[in-house]
This record gives sequence, C-alpha cells and structure tokens, in this order.
Amino acid sequence: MLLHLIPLLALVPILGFACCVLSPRKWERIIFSVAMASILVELVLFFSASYLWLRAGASPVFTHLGFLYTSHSYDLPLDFYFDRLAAVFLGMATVMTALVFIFSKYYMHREQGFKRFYSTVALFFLGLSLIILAGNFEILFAGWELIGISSVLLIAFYRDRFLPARNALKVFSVYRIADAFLLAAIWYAHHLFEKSISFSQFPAIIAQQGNHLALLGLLLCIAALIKSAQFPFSYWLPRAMEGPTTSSAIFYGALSVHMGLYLLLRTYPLWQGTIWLRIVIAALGLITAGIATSIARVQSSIKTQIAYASITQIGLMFLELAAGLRWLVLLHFISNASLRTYQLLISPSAVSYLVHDQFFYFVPPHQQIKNTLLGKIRATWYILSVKEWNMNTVASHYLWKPLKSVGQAFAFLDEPAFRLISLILFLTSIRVAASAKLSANSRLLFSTTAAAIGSIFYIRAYATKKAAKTCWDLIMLGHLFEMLFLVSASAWSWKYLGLYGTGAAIAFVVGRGCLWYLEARDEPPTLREYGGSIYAFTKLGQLFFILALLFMAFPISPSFLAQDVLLSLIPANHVLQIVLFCLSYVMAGVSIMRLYVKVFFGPHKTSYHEIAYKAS
Amino acid sequence: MTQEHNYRFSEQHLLHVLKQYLPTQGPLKDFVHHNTLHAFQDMKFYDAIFKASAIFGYQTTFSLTEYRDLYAIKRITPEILEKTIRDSKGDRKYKEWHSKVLSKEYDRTFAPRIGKLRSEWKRLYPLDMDNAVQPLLFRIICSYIDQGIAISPFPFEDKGLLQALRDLENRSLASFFKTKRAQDLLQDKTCTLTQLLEIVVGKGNEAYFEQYVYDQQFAHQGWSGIVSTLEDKPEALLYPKKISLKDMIILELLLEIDTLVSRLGDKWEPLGNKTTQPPVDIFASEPSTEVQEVIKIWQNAFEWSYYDTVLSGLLRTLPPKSTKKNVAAKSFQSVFCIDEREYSLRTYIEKLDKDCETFGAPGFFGVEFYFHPAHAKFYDKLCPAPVTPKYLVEEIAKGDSHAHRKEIMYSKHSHKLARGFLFSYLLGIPAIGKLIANLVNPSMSPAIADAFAHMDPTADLTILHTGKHDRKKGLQVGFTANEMADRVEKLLRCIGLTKNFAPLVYIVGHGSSSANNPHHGAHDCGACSGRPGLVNARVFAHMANYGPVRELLKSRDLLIPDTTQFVGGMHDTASDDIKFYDEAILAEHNNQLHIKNKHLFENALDLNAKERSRRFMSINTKRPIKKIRSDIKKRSVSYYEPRPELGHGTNALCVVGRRSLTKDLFLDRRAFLNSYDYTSDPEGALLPSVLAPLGVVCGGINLEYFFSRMDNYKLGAGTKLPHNVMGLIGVANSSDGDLRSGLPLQMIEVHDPVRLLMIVEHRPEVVKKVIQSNPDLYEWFAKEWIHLVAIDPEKKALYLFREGKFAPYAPLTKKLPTVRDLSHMFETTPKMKTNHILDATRENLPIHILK
Repeated sequence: MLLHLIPLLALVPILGFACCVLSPRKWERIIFSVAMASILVELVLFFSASYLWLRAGASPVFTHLGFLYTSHSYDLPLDFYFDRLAAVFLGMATVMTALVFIFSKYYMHREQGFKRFYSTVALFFLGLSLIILAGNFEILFAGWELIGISSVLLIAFYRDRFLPARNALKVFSVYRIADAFLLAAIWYAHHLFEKSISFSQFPAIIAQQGNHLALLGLLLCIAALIKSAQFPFSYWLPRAMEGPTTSSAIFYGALSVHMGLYLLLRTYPLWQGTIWLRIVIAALGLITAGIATSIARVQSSIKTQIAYASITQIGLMFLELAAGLRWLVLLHFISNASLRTYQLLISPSAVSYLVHDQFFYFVPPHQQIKNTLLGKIRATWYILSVKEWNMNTVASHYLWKPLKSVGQAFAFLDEPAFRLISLILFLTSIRVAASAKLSANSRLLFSTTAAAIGSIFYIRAYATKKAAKTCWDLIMLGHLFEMLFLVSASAWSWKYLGLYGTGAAIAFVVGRGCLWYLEARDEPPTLREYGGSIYAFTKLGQLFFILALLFMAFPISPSFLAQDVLLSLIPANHVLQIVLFCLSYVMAGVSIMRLYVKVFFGPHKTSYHEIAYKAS
Repeated sequence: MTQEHNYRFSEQHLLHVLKQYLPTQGPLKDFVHHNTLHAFQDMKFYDAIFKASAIFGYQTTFSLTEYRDLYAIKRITPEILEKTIRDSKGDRKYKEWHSKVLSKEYDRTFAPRIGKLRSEWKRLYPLDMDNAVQPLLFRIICSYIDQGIAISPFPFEDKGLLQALRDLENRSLASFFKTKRAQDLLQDKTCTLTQLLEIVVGKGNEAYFEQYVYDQQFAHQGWSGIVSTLEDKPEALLYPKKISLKDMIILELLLEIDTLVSRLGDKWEPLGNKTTQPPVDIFASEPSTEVQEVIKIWQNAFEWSYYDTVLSGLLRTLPPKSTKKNVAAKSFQSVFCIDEREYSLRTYIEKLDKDCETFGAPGFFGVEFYFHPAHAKFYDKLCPAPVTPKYLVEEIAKGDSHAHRKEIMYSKHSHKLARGFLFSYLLGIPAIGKLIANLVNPSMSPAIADAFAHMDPTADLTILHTGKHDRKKGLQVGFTANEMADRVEKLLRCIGLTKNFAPLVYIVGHGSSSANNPHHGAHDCGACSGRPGLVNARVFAHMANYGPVRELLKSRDLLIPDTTQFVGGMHDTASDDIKFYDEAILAEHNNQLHIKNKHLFENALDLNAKERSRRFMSINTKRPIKKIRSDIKKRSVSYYEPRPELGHGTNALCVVGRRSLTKDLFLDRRAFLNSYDYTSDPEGALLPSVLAPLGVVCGGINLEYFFSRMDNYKLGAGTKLPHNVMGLIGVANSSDGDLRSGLPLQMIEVHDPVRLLMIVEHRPEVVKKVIQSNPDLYEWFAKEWIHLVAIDPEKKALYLFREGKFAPYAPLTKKLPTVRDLSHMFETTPKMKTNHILDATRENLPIHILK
C-alpha cells in the first residue's frame, strides 16, 4: 500500500499543475478549486502515507517504478524515497502551499494573472515534491530545474516592469550556477558508482568509496549554499521578492530557500565522513549568520529585512547540520519557515503597527559613533551592511562582467559571414569526426576544442546587444558544437546526435519564426533594452517560453535525455571537458533566458498605454 | 531658442521649479488626498493634462479605443456625444468632427520629453546610469529617513544628510563610494551643486543643467517627492529628519561621478560635450493637436453622459418651494461627514425612521485641534490638512488602558542572531496558528489598524480651557466657552440646523479599520488629515451640551432646548460598526430614545453592509442580512483582503443643499453631501465658509482618484500585492525600487474617472458672487478642474458655470429608471468581471428615482 502511495504523492502535483494550466483564464473560482483540490488530495495522501509509514516502523521506504530510459550503458530509473526527512519537508511544503492557496484566493482576486499565479505555484509545488520524494539524483535534478523555472515566472510575475524582469534574470543566473554544480555532482557520482545510484544505497556505497566522496560532497555543498542564499550569494534572496507578497512568502520565506539545506540533509551520509568539508560548511554557515544579521539590522525596507533575518537562521541551520544535529535542523527549519512566511504575509501591516507603536513608545535613538577603534569598526560595519557587503556588485564584477568581456572579444561572431563560416566548420567537422578514425588523443583534442567553441558561442550570445535573432543563431551554433563535443567525447552515436539535434532544431526554427513575426509586426526584438512584447503578444510569449525551455534542454526536451546520456559517458578523468560542459550549461541557459526576458518582459517599448517607470 | 544665448543657471530657480512639480504626498501614516497634477492647476484642465502628458508621459485620459468601446457599450450616449460636439465645434462642423471622433485613426504612440537627455548615457558611453546609481541612492536615503524598521539607525542622522555621510565616511574604513574622487568631493564642503553639474554635464554647458537635473529627478519622482515634502514639512514625521532636495541631488551627482570614474577611468567627456541633442525647455508649451481635441470631446461626453442623468433626476425630484412650516416633530437628528461613503447609511437611517433628519458637514465638525492620546509621545492633528490649530485636547486615561498592545510577531528581536535563534524556534508554530486563525476566523489584533482604538472611550478629554494648565508646546489646552459657542454656532447655521431640535442630535465621525493595508490612512476621514474623526465628534457633542455654550447660543438667537442632548459617535466605514461616546450623560428619557435609536442604527448598518456587499466578490449579497454584516466585519480584519473597503472609489458628485434635494434619488454612494439650507441664508452670507473647504477636500479626493485611475503605473501606486514597506513612510515594489505615491490599483478599480460635479442649491448670481470672493476656490471652477452647477430652487432651473458665467442647462435625459426594492437590485446586478474600465464601469449603477 505504502509503496503505491508514494509515487502518487508525486503524481498528484503533476495532475494539479496540468489542471491549473487547462482551467479557463477568467474563472477564478474554477482555477482556485482545481488548485485547492489537488493540494487537498495531496494532503490526504500525505497523511495516509505518513500514518502507514509510521505504523510500519518509520524506516525509509524505497520504490522503484521502472526506468524512464534504459540502454546498455545508461539507465534513468524512476525511483522514489520516503523517510523522516521527506516526511517533514513534504508535510511543510503541502501545508504551506495549501495555506497560501487559500490566502491568495482573496488576495489575488481580480489580479491580472490570477491563473498564471496558481499555475506557477502549482508548478513550483510539483518541483518541490519531486525534489523531496526523489529516489535518485536525476529525479531530484528535474525538480531542482522546475523550481528554477517557476522562480523566474513568479519573480517576473509583474512582467511589465523593469525590476521584476531584471531580478528574475539575476536569480535565474545564480540558480543556474547551483544547477551546474549539481549536474557536475551527478556526473561525478555516476562515475564513482558506475551507475545511477538511488538514495537507499547510500550506506552500502559509503563503505566502498571512502575518500573519493569528498569532491562529490564539495560539489553538492556549493550547489546547496547557492540555493539557500548563503554567503556570498545571499543577495539574490531580497531581490527575488518581486512577486505578490503571498508568493514571496511561500517561496523565499519558507520553502525554496531551504532547498539547499534539504540537498545537504538528503546527501548527509555522503559527506558526513569528510571532516574538513563539515568545517567549511560550519564556517560558511556561521559567517553567513553573522553577516546576514548585520544586514538585517540596518535594512530599512521590511521585506529585505525579513529576507536577511531568514538567511541568518539558515546559516545557523548549516552550522547545526555540520555539527550533525539533524533533528535540530529539522525543527529549526519548520519553525523558521513558518515564522518567516507569517512575517512576510503580514509585512504590509508594519506601517500601522510600528507607527502606532512608535506613537506611544518612541525614544530617539542615539547613534553617535566615536572616533575610536570601536567606532571605526561600527562605522565600517554599518556601511558594509547597508550595501549588503557588496555581494551583489562582487558577483556581477567577478563573475558576470568577465564573461561579458570574453563575449565582447568575440563580437565578430555576430557577423552573418562568421555565422556561415561556423556552420560550414561544423558540417566539415562532423564529417571528419564521423568518418575518420582518430586516435584517442586527437579525439580528446578534437572534442575539447568543440566544447570550447561551443561555450564561446554561448558566451557571445550572453554578451550580444544586437538583434535577438542574431543571439538565437549564436545559441544554435553553440548547441551544434556542444553536440559535436558530446558525441565525439563519449561514444559516437547518430542516435543521440539526432535526439539532441531534433530538440534543439525544432526550438530553433520555431523560435526564429516567432522573432521574425515580432519584427514583421513592428516590434523588432533586440537585446539592447527590455522590449515588453508580451503586452501585445501574450500567446506568442507563452509559446516562446516553451520553446526557450526546449532550447535550453530542459527536462521536457529530447535534448535533455541525449545530453544526460552522453554526459554520463564522458570519462572521469576529462575534468576540463566537464568544466567546459558546465560552463556551457550555465551560459546556454542564462543566454536563452536573457533573450526571452529581454524580448518579452519589461516595460513595453511601444507606448500607447500606461507604462511603468523603470525605477518603479 | 532664445534661452541658449546668455543663459544663466540658477540653483534656486531649478529647485523651485523642481519642487513644484514633484509629488507632494507625505508619509503614509497620514494620507491627505490632493490633486496629483497640482503643479498644473493654474492652467485649464485639458491644457494641463495634455501638457503633463507631453512632459512626463502620463496617460491622463483613456485611449481613443477605450472611449470608442465605452460608446459602443452605451456608457457614452449618442445624444450627449452629439451635444458635446455641437457645443464645442458648432453645428457647421458637426459632421466632420463626428466622423473624426468616431472613426479617424490617429498615431497612438507618444514619447515624453523627460528623460531624453538622460538616455544619452546609455547611447553614448554606454552606461546604464539609473541602474548603477539608483539602488544605492534609494537605500541611503531610505536608511536616513527610516522611521523605525531598521534596528540600528543611521549614524549622525541629526546632522543633515550630507554631513552625516561625511562623518560616517570619515570614521569608516569602507565607503559608499568606489572612487577617491567622489569621496573627496563629498568631504569638500565648499563644493556646490553647480560645480558638480559642471563635472558631470560639463563647464560651458549650463544650458543643459536644468534639463539634466529634471531628467535625473523625475527618473525617481517618488523618492525625490518625499524628500522635497519632508524638507518643507519635517513635522510630517514623528521622528523628523533634516533633509533637503538639494542634498539628495548632490548625493546623486556624487554617485554618478563615482560611477563614471570607476567605469571609465579619469578620462571621460562630460555629457553635455558629447550629446548631439539641443537643450530642451522641458516645461515649454506645446501646440494642441487634433487628437487632443477628439479626446477632449470624448472625455466631456463620458462625464456628461453621467452628469446629465443626475441633473435630470435632481430637477425631476425637486422638492416644493419651501418645506411645510408645521412639520412633525423630529425623532432625532444626525450629522455625518460629507463623505460619499456615509451617503447610503444616511439613506437607510431615513428610510427606517421617516421622522428623523440627517445632515452632512465636513467630518471634523468645525472643531480643529491637536489630540494627545494618553501615554502617547506625540500629538495628532485633527482637522483639514491646510489648517494649523491653536488648541490641544488631551486624553486623561484612567490607568494605562490606552497604551498600545504589543504583538510578538513584529518583534525585531527575531531579526537578530541569538535572540532570532530562540524566536525562530519558539514562534514558528504559533505563527502558523495565527495564520490559520486569521484564515478561518479573522478578528481584531494589535497588528490591525483599528479606527476605534484611536481614543479610549472611558477616558476624559480636556475640552474646556480652564486656564490652569494653560498652554502646552505653544497650544492652548481646551477651548473657552466663547470659542466653543463660535464653533457650534457656525456648524449648526451652515448646515441649517437652527430650529426643530430633536431630543437627540448625533454627531457621527468616521474612520476605517483595515488589516495589512499600508494605505489605511487614505480610508480615514480626509477632513481630519487622514485620521478617524471620532475625537472631533465627541468633542463637538461635548461643546454643544455644555451649559455656558447653550447660554451663549441663546444670546445669539440660536435656541437649543434644554431637553436636547448631543451624542458623539463614530461609524467605521470598513467594518460597518458604530459606537457612541459619553452615553452616561444622557437624561433618562433621552437614554431610552437612544437605546431605540441604536437599534435603528444597527438595522441601517445591516442594509448599508448589504449595499456595499454588491461590489465584493467574497460576499454573497443574497445571504441573510446579518450574515452579510458579519462577513463585512470579518473582511475588515482579514490579512488576506486587499480591499477592506473601496474608499472614495466612484466619487463624482458634491451636492451642497438641503437633503430633500437628493432624498428621492439613488446615487450609488457617489455623492458628497454637504447640508446647506438656502432658505435660512437668502443672501448667501454663510455660503463662502461652506464652500471654501470643498474645493480642496472633495476636489483633491476626486482628482487623486481620477489620475490614479487613468495612469495607475505613473500616477498611482500600481497593484498593492507586491508592495514592500520602506522606512514606514511609503511603499515600493522591490528592494531597490522607487517609492510609489498615489493610490493603489485595488482602490481605484471601481472608479469612473470623471471630474467632480458640484451642485449648489442657490440662485446662480449668489453662487457666482460667493465663488468670486475666494480666488483659490474660484480657480477650481474657472479652470474646469471641478464642474459647477447652481440649482435655483425658486425657479426650479439649472445653471452651468462655464467660461466665467452661469448659463441655463437643460438636461437631455428624458427617462430615468425607477427602483422600488433596492435590495433586489443589489442582489441582481452582476459584479464586474475584470477591472478594465469597460467591465468596471458597468458595475456602477445609473441613477434611479426611488419609489
């Protein structure tokens, strides 16, 4: 019985999301009922499953439903896993989502995008339940990606303004880096264990592997720190609070921000033996807590303050986790998530409550800083905290700026002639690679070069400010070389080449058509500024979003499968190739999302209706 | 351009003009409605809105398509459209303009004048200056002004923005700036605004200076506006801050220099040297265009399609010349605020008791003072915003019953490290409990703005000036008997309540309770500076009951029978509750009447709640009436409800006259009603003081709703759902966003943007004389920001004020719908599908004649 219930727990959110998407746009009641029904079913299932599980002795339950894909060298098993950790997180996620659904029924009433809101939260919940119930890394990764995508949609919920659009992009970019580390971890795990491992096998594996686990742990740890907004990545959290207060509360107050923590809890057996890693986690947690609380102390906007207060506690949770106090972490999570959700939901009341409070209890503060060493430290501390310890500028300066500069150096690729030459180069290369029998070394050189060229195209696409179609072409060229790299680095296979190519090609052609259509309708899409075309071309915008997902080999695209299979075949010692692959993965995703957001989101550039100020 | 030659840049001139055009909305705690385009008010309405649109890119009207759609759904009627075209274009050109209005296509796109010079940064350098500078600028300004969100305040905040920054930077090892150049310029106290502009825009480019600063400041008019307002009115904050617009501009220029130096090194050309644009006079006038004429016709037709029905209704139900002399004795009288939200309640009270009488007067009831709640550290001003009272009324509480209750969920300790650790362990589960409790059964809590909590009903008020404790902070404590009598007399005479006093006269102020609503002040009484009016009501009642005052009134020919007693009270317009004060003083007989009346008020509130519920999707209007009432009450204390009430949405009319004028009409809560009896004031001696506050109060409310509705993005605050409270003074959308002034979407979506139509019941020559005697008031009408109609009760004729004179107006509307059963009508009219104007306007019911 229990074994059947657990896959159902993952299935219901899928159905719920599908029903939300299919509901009529203007019928709030139907949309709400559908969303609420699915979450209630989930809740009932969850309680039944938990009851059965407790009665069965509360030992971890593993279900293997079969394989999503299988070949002689690669399996993609559909596994689910339910234990104490999953029970706590899924319980919290379901209860919080249910509460926010009810709250939003009234709160979101008559808001443009009522349906979009429910659909996106349902998608988010789906991602969440996949992560929580995943029995192996692949399923977890799929959920992880869904959360990234639904985040973009919720942050840019008010897509006709500049800041939500920009911040959605900013958060997506950071998330993408976390995803890349997780992907690298999966690849590494695959080689370490020579197959896709399920979480139930951890104890056995650990006995075998011992020392090699440190690197795996480190990769997971970085992914987790980013996803949970730990130092030095904390800056994304307040900027993610652009959507309606309800979605900010559930996403960034309660659930999404604790997912990094979940990842580390889930993989605890893998890294618990690595003492230095535990020290690193503890140290980063402690540093985060210290810095985040200092920022929370000086912030003068309520949501930013709550965001940093929450990060502070998550930092402490990392500390507790490093110390091995997993029970404490779970309690802390439940409590912190609940408190911050509530604080965010009632944050608009601050004006009436705090002003009233001030009216009766005000004492003029005395903040004089003396010219002493202590004074110097306090003044420095104050300035740094107001500026959020420059985390935002540091990230853009040391991460995104250099990539932009590299991209600028390849500006010539924008020229049509060069794109043509590159295409010819690709076609020749593929012939050479397919026919010639290359030695192992030259194959390595060949594939690494292809990988480098691919990533350069992606980076160029990220830097270009020209027409969107140029950027789209560049990304496609990037894909071509990426394909070349993947097949030549692993096993030459027309099948996977075709699979990868089909996904990308469909997205490319149709997407190019959309861009052409926009141009024909007097809204030439460029990347110089935000175009906001979704105002006039809503349906097209929705279609293009799906195309963009296909194009970035999202887990709905055939490219994803090909990419995953081929990736797993890259030998363990080809570190440079994996680094290049991860770089390409980040840059392809970010370039595509940047293109989408810049073309369709932001203030509509054709002004015959109300348009928001850029700063608003 | 003549300006290019011998152009002189003057900082004073720049700041003067800038301050004039920036938004003047103050901190959210007191929300005072005003004309959003106040800077253009010296121009005629249409010239002003088109000019504002050309300069700033505001959408000040609907689009042509929207007007034509409104015509298609008959919201704009063909007869009125025809009349509007004929009136403005003449009969000869009627055909031509009719086709232009209905079908000619015009280029709909527009590019505002503001921001063009600033866009050169991106084009020529290329540099996104706004993005590079604004987030940090906003953060510094907000931290500096912050009223109490941050735990650690801005150091040296008493020294003025720039000096505080200097001192802070001096002590600190870190800096807000990246470059030494900007740091040095900050520390150089002799450095002027002009010098900084010379660095950024270039020496010799003075012709660009003003334009540059306008572009810069209007790129974030929210923050600039609040700084400018606080510079002029530091007392608007409980914790005043020394800040000036000039300091803010200097800081922004410093940050710009910092950006330029850090991005481009030491060698860069100032903007003025590189730009190819000629300098532009931002505020220059523009010739009017044909499309503007077309829009003008449409907007006029939109407004008059409604007004015409109203005027037709008024004329039709006009009461007989003068009410019969020997009317039945009144059961009670009740004075409400002129607020259009009180309109429906008054109707129901009168319906339930045919012998009672209701009146409307500005909700501070003519008593202006500062109020000092017991244990409070500050005073509240309780009178219209432009008035500065000389009086203080103190609350003397018994015990410390009135001190503010604490709510642990708001404790800032949870943001700290160690205590936050404890808090986040202990409070999580209670938080969820509270959330569920509020979802299941919403109820009042300290976190909710409670209008009744403004005053402790059991506490005494120092209304009488005793001479003993004399003065506090330059204010006289309480009023002398003479001062009281003056105020009581003035109010009663203005509203025409000078005889036939009933045993009980209620003075009912109003306020609004709402949860999770930073704009709650905008729902309170506008005549009390955006606060609940309960103290004023209680004070007025006390004055009118005071023996010596009665004596004085008697000597002034205003005889109030000794058996008559005044009772103060307050109506909560969100929760539809009513409470009365000082009931203990009532004589036995009156007390019995009062108990009966209270029952009647409750029943009237039930009906009122039912009428309001027709616009609330969450409430089924067909439910039993008591259930509706409790739904309405819950709504006002629900955290999840962004529309606890709809505020002044749909306001359109202001009727100054006897209640009998409007008694037989159903006006759908759209009319401000100010009582005024022309029969007791034949020469209009009282009229100036009746009309004086109406322009600024009703006109201000009306135009704020008008513009927030027309352009909710630039002139309004946008949807309130993503709002983030900044420093307790305003809301912004993001952690890095500009402050949003104006009204949020949820408040204006039911509003039909029409200018106010003021209807005064008196002879036109009297009305003309009165408005001409007050230039400020006259401007509202002469410049067409408010329409004015005089209704001559003797001749039973209407006169429209246009181009400086009254001309007869004959309504075109021939047939008006009638209604017998209002409840049935409310149950059957559909609620709006979307908040687009085409759907929203259908929810606003046409005027009906009550049967």
